Amino acid sequence: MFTAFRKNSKGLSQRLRQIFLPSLSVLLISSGLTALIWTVLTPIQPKNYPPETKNDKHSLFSTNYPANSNFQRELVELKNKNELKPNDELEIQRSLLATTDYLDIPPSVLWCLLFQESRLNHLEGIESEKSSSGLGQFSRFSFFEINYQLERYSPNNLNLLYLTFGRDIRPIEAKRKDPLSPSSYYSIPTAVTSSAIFLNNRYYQLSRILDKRSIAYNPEILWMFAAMAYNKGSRSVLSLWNTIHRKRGTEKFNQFLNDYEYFKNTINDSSILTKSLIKIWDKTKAIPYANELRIHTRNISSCAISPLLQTTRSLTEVGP
Amino acid sequence: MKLQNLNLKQLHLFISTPQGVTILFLFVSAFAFTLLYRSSTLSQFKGQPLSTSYLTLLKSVNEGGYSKFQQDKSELKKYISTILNDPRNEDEETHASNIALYFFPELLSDSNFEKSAALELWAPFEIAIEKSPRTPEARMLFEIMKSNIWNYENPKMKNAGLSPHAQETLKVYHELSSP
Repeated sequence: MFTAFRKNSKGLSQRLRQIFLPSLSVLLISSGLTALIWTVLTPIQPKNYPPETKNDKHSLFSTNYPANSNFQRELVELKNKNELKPNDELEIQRSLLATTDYLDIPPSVLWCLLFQESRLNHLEGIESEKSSSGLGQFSRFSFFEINYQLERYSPNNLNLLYLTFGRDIRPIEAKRKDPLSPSSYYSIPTAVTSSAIFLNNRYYQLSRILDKRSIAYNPEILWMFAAMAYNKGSRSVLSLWNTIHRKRGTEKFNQFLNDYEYFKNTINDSSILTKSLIKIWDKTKAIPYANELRIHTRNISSCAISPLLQTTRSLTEVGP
Repeated sequence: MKLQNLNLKQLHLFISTPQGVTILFLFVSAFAFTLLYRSSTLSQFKGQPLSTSYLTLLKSVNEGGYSKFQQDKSELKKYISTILNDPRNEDEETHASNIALYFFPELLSDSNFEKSAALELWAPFEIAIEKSPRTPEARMLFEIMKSNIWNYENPKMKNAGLSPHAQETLKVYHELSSP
């Protein structure tokens, strides 16, 4: 019996060797080749700054805003003095959430930008002959872009107008005599939507330039650059990029686009901002513009960025 | 003091000798030749200061018409190209880059982040206006170009704060697009 068993097992192992070994070797070789091809064809990721995944998007930004105590104090004062009415605040918030959700803008960035521009006074400038007006301080050229070049940057812009108002409400203007008309920038939903589109366009403009050159960037930091471009034009941002790239090199430039701490420190350096703007304007304009841009960016950053990322303390220190 | 006198005396004596005269002659000739060579390479462009050539484009349109404008613009392009290839200092490079940005963006280096913006936001409009100057279509294109430039620089409007180069560009194309 034992001999029979040995004979059987010997036959079995021979059969195994005959059947499975070739197929096993074929399997191993083919999977090895697949792995090799996979490795070769996978695009090389940027060395230091991998792009953010969709799961942790907007993690740099605070979900509660304003995140800074200065703006919180000011907001309370505005409400106490009834300069910001509860209904207006609610309408701003409602429009803002719908718009930012559609255009994928971090809500805190848009809210803080509007607060910085007008202190959420949607009628700002209605009684004066100021060149900029309303929640997002629109100029006649901002209106021109919305009215005549809406689809230059993103097809989503026109869809958003239809989705929000049910029709194309353009031309949008600062209608002093009819402020509540949907075509008036003094109307809250119109102002929030138009400002969001204008901000979104600045983001598209900057991202397209970086994409063309295959430069990796953190999309959240790029929103901060878009907010800067909203205030002082894309030219100021591009001139700043040129200066950093030229003076500090490619590695630091990549850090500028990807590392929030480095971004914050650079923006607070008024000499580098002035150096960049002096390439556009003469000293008499470049110096105050640089100062204005620095304050504007600092305020929006501190208002929109999560407080945990702004503190210099460790997480255990700020924990409960 | 004594040493200085001695050196001057020795130098004077040396220059008086035939060898000294020859060396001095060679040195001065070489210096003059270098100066001549340097100025000849730039003479066709550097006959007038940079700002003058740049600011005379509007005059070219007004007084010489479209053909004079084309001729002067082409001269200016050669000049700016020379400067950008071999700038004497940073100020000159910045000034030439600003003119190139608004009139000849193709001359800017690919590493310049402003080049893409210029090629998209105003260069196509400039080309189209130059193709059919002084027409209603040209005026329509000018309005878009103007808006793009204002939003690109986004200065305070009350201060007329556009950069001087942007202002000059808009003046020239406003004139060229006037029906």
